[in-house]
Amino acid sequence: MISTAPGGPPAGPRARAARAPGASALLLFGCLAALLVAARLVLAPHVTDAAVQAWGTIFVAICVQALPFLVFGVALSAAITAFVPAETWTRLLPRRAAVAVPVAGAAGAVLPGCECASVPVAGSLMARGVAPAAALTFLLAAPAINPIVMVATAVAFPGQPGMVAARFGASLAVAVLVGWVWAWLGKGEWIKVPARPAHDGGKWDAFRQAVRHDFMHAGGFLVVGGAAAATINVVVPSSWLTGLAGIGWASVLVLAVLAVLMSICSEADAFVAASLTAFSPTAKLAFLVVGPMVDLKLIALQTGMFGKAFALRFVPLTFVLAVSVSSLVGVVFL
Amino acid sequence: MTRAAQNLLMVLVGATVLWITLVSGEVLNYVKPVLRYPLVAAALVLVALGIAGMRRDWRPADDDHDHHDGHGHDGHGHGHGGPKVAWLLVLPVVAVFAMAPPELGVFTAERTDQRIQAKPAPVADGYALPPGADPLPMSIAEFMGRSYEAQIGGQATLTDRRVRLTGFATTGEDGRWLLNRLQLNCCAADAITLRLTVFGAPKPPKGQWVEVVGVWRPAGTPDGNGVYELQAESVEKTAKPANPYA
Repeated sequence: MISTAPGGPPAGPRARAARAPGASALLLFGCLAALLVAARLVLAPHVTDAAVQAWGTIFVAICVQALPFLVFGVALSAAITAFVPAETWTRLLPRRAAVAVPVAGAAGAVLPGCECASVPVAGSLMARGVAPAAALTFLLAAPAINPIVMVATAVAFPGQPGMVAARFGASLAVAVLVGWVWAWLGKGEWIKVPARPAHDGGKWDAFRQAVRHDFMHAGGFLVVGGAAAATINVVVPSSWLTGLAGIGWASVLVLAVLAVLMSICSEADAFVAASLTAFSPTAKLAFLVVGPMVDLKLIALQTGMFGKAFALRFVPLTFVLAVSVSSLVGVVFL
Repeated sequence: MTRAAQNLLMVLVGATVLWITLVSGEVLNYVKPVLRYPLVAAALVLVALGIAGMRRDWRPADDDHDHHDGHGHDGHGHGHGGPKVAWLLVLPVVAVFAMAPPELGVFTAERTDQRIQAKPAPVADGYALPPGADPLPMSIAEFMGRSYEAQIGGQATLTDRRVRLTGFATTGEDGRWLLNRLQLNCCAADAITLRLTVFGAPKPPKGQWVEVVGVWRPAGTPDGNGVYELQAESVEKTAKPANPYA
């Protein structure tokens, strides 16, 4: 909307680009910058309502805070997608699904990947002959326990290494349990394995495109999560959350559902969890374990990728296991 | 969403971050200062990749390539190149420029239930206050930490020592005024309110930043109201600090 207004119809910039390379892009960017400066000068002085200002500050703060983790997570996962040959996975993973599941879970601990990125990666693993159960374990583990998420969690919970360890342990346990249940009960026809066309162009091109693709997907949903979190922060009286937070088991469920609704990227969710100061560590742990595995954007992605029959079974299974395991780990260790 | 729009969006987001971090310094309204370095790096990555993508688009020979990027790569029904949800990335950029969100202050402080006290920062190893400086500049967090220490039976290190605290004023539930500072764990979303009651000085306007010089009042001082109290000697208006948070 904003980008097309100054540049005319969508075909305009491209047609002109052939004649004057870059000029139209620069022009468009200049127009945008001018619009934004005008907005700062004309609109900003009129935004004086304290609640609106606080909402804006918190909304921008969540987006800004998450950005470096998102960009570096996306860049690393893109580097792996672009520079590690696909055959590596089938060579590294054992043939038997029951054995491959924990290996895939452990692989999630070393390979960074946004949850949005891990859905297509899991699809391509299945397409290249990896057992579905193992690919699904990787899908759950990679965004939940990769090093970037662990560092972000440690930054968000300074002086609480127990939270980092509990998140790692509980998430890995859930991923492996789901994989085993799937290997045991899962049926092949539930999953529609997508065909994966290979990249053309150079590796650097593939890298650049993967970064852009993942950043666009994850970034958009991050903004949704930031807006939801800011709204909850500003609108819901702290006494409500404190009231809910006081009811032991309810607080765990409330944050688990909140994680599903907010759909925050795993690179950023620790910061939001840390901000929910009224809740118990166990409830925060449930938020951190459920968030990267089940949320609205993931359900949408998984349904699109593997079909409705799959999502109907996989999502509830993962949610129930995630809540149970994190409650257990939280009660015992936190 | 077209590829050109995606590239532009990456440059836009990166440039906005560079602006608030390197040019205007507004970033300190949102996050802790240490995050500026990874932010600049991430913004440079976004700008570089966005510009690299634009450069490819300038070459007409790449039209062919365009289609593979959009359809094949995506594979889950988002259509051309990027999903519609990516447009939402414009929102924080617009918020930064059109709303110019200021630092959190009175609104957040007043929302916090006065009965819920933030956990005071633990006092560092050297318990005794450094000699010299009078009044001694101190953070509100440290003042609260030392005050708490004294109340739970530890050393009373603040006794009879003049300190200078900086914060903004609000009115407490009992009508006395409070000196506040918000503390960030990571970003403004997790701000918690640190505050103490000031005695012996008229109330400054709400939200006014002040430097208060005064002496600690131990808990249980007659006509006191709570846990953290300061007997003021002077209250002077001051400008908002560069980093408004503790």
